Amino acid sequence: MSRIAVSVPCGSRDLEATMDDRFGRAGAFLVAERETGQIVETIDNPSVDVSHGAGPGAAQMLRSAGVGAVISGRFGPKALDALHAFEIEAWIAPPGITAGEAFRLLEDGGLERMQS
Amino acid sequence: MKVAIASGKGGTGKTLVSTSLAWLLARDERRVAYVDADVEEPNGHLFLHPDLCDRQRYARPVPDLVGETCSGCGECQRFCQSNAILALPDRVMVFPELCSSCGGCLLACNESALTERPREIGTVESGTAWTESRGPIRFLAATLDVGEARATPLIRGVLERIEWPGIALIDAPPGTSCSVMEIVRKVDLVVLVTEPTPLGLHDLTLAVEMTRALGKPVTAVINRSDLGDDRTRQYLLSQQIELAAEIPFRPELAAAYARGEIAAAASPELQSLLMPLGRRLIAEASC
Repeated sequence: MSRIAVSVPCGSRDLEATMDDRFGRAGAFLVAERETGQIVETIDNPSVDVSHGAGPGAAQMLRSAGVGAVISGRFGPKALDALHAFEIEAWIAPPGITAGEAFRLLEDGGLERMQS
Repeated sequence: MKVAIASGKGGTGKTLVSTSLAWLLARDERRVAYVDADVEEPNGHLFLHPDLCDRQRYARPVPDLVGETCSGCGECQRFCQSNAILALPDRVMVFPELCSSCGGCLLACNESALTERPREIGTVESGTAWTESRGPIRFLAATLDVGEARATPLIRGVLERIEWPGIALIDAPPGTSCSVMEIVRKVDLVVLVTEPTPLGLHDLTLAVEMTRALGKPVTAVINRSDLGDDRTRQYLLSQQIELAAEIPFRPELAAAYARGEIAAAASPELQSLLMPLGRRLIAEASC
C-alpha cells in the first residue's frame, strides 16, 4: 500500500492537526495509508532547523519512510527537484486546513499537483 | 598590511570608517586600497565613486556527475556539511548553490563519479577612486550574484587579488559568520566598529570572541558615541581593548553620507578623530 503524508507542526498526532504551510521547514509529517486513510506514524522533520537544504532533506526522509505523495502549503524549488527525483507527488493545499481535510481533498481530486 | 573593518552588529558604520580612513591615508599620500568585501550588499562605491578599469566574473568549483559510474551510495552526501548533495536510488543530485567548494565530496567518492566544474557566483571589479584628497585610492569590490547562498568563496577570491604593498582596508560584512572569519583570518589587524547600545554591545562581544579565537589583534571604534550608555566602554576596558576612536552623532555627518560623500571629507572633526588610528596603521605598515 502506498503512503501519503501531510506537513504538520511538531507534536501533532491526529487528523485534527492544522497543516503546517511550509514543506521543508515543517515541524513534522503525519503519515497515513493512502487506501484506508489510517494514520501510520508522525515523523519529526530532521531538517527543520538546518541552515540550507531543508527541502531536499525532508524529501529524503519521506522517501525512506515509503511515502509516495505529500501535501503541504508551499514547496521550495530545491524541494520540488528532490521530490521529483524520488518520484514523490507534491500536492498544494490551502492554508489553515486540518490534516484530515487535506487527505480528503487529495482523494476527492480537490488539490493541485506541483511539477518541478 | 591588511586591516579588516568589521562589526558584530550591522549598520554601525563600517563603510563610514573604512572610506574615511582610506581618504585620510590618501590625503597623507600613503598607498591605500579600499576593498569592499561586504559582497551581499557592497556600498563603498557610493562614496568613493571609483573609475572602474576592470570587471571580471568570478567562478568557484562545484561538483558535477561524470559518466555513468555513480551508484547513489551516498558517501558524498554523508561527507557534505552544506546539504549540497542528495543521494537518489541510482545516482546523486547536486545543489551547486549550497556547495561550499571544499572538494571533500570528490575525495569521499569511491567510484570516480564526481568531477568539478566552475560555477559563476559573482563579479570582482577594480579601479581607482580620485578623491579630492591628494593621492588616489585603489578600489577593489566584489558583488555576489542574487540567489547565491554562499558568500565565502567569492570573498576568498577578492582577497586573493589584493596584491598591495601599502595599506588595504577591507570593508567586511557584519556578523561573525564564515564570510567574516575568512577575512579576519587573513588580516593583520581587526577594527571593530560598534555603537554604545545593548544590541551593539551584545554583537561586539561575539565579534571580539571570534577575533580572539582566530588569534588576531583587535581595536575598537565607537560610532554615535554620545548615544546609549557606558557599558560598551566598560566592556572594552575590562577586555583591555584599545578604543581607537569615538565618533559622536552629528546630523552633518549623516547628511554628507546621505549625499554620497566621504564623511571625513565633509568633517574636519571626523578627520581629527580618526587620525590617531590612521597614524597607527601608517606606523605598523611602515609605508
